[in-house]
Amino acid sequence: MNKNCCVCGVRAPILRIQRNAEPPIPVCEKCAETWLSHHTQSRNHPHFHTSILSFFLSLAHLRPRSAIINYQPSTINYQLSCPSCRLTYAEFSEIGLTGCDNCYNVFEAAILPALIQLCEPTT
Amino acid sequence: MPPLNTPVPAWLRYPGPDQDVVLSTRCRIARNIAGMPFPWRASELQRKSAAEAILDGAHRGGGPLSRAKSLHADNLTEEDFETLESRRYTTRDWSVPGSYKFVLIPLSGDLSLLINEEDHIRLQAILPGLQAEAAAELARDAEVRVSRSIDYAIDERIGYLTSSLSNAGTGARMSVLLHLAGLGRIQMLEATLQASLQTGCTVRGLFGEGSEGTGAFFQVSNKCAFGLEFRQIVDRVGASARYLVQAERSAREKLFGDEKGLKRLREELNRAAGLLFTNDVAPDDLLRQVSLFRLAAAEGVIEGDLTDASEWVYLAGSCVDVDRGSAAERFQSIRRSAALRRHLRALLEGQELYE
Repeated sequence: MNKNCCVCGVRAPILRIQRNAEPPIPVCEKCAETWLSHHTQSRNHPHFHTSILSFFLSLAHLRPRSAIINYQPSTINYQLSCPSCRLTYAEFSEIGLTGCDNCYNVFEAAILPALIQLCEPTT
Repeated sequence: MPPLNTPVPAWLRYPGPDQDVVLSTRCRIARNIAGMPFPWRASELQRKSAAEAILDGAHRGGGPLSRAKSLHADNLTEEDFETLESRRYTTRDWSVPGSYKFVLIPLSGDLSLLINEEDHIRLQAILPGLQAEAAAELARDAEVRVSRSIDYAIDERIGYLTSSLSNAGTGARMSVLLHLAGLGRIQMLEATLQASLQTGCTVRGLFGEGSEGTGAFFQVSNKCAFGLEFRQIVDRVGASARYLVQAERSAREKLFGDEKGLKRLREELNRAAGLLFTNDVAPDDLLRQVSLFRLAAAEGVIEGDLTDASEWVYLAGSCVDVDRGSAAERFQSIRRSAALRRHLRALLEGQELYE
């Protein structure tokens, strides 16, 4: 298990974010406070928990080896669609291509972990 | 219609460093225009708009692309597509029907810009031999010039945004094409390739998996475009390729470093030559023969230009899937196969393989 915060990579974690039986994500107090200060209005948002993940991943500047592995965002709405190119999440999952730059924002919760998994070492 | 007039590509025209083992080095950069659907999702009008913006950007940016020949896919014949693909100016994806597809090719023959392939812009530089830094510099310079007139789709966390996630980030794919026939013969291929993966690169047989079916031609490239700087990708692929070059040379020294080894190679070549002068050779066998002839030329057993040998490889490789294509594709494959056999026969005529 990672010893340090997955965001800064330096400080000891005070909490671990865990989904079901998957490996937990360790976060230190300072990074957790930073996130919460930006998202105090978001707690009732339907995608709040996926936002947690994407935010920490983004703050970690993609330190892939210390972040989670094999995250599967089951709460993504398959009917969710990009307002710019009309690509739905279901289509994106099936075809494997994004339709425009805005897709990266709309499907962020799936795309960021997928990018990290793509770059995991094979050895 | 008159034949397509494009420059002979640099990888076929000039010799390159480490050419005994390395056929060519390629650097490809993918970019998209901000706020515009990627080509596969765009309307005809959007593709037209993208093409016009990129053509204008290439012209205004100066450099080799500003003076490049521009070809519109709608004006090309099947034979033209084949010529462009065999010269590696275009890809099979670009040749699939779709509106407002263009390719720009400067006279130098070392660069091409594809418009409306999988992404709006696909720039590639291909140089002979091992030239990772030079290929990267060439591609990057062209990309920066175009960027002066175009806002690229970019995200501050991810980097450049592309249609396929595998290209997102730097949008860069570096690849080096190597001939590892020696390592295959001493059963060290798998272990050596595995070691080269430590740099985070990926290696695949150019014409299928395993050494037997590919003629021992392998491509080493970066695994992903994300999470690394462009410079890191260039360094890692270059380092992986240099490691493989050294390993291959050691293998060849073990195999052919004495007269006994060279004699074995000549005998093998003589047997292959005998087959070549009979009737049709199966495509897989043709690729193995090309591999053998290239190895023999590199070891000085026959007089052959290794630059020409790069073309043999592509001709032979394009014949491998002959059974799976349409009738027209099969006809073209058979024609290329016949042309290749003529090249190889001409090479062998007048050469003494035995003392």
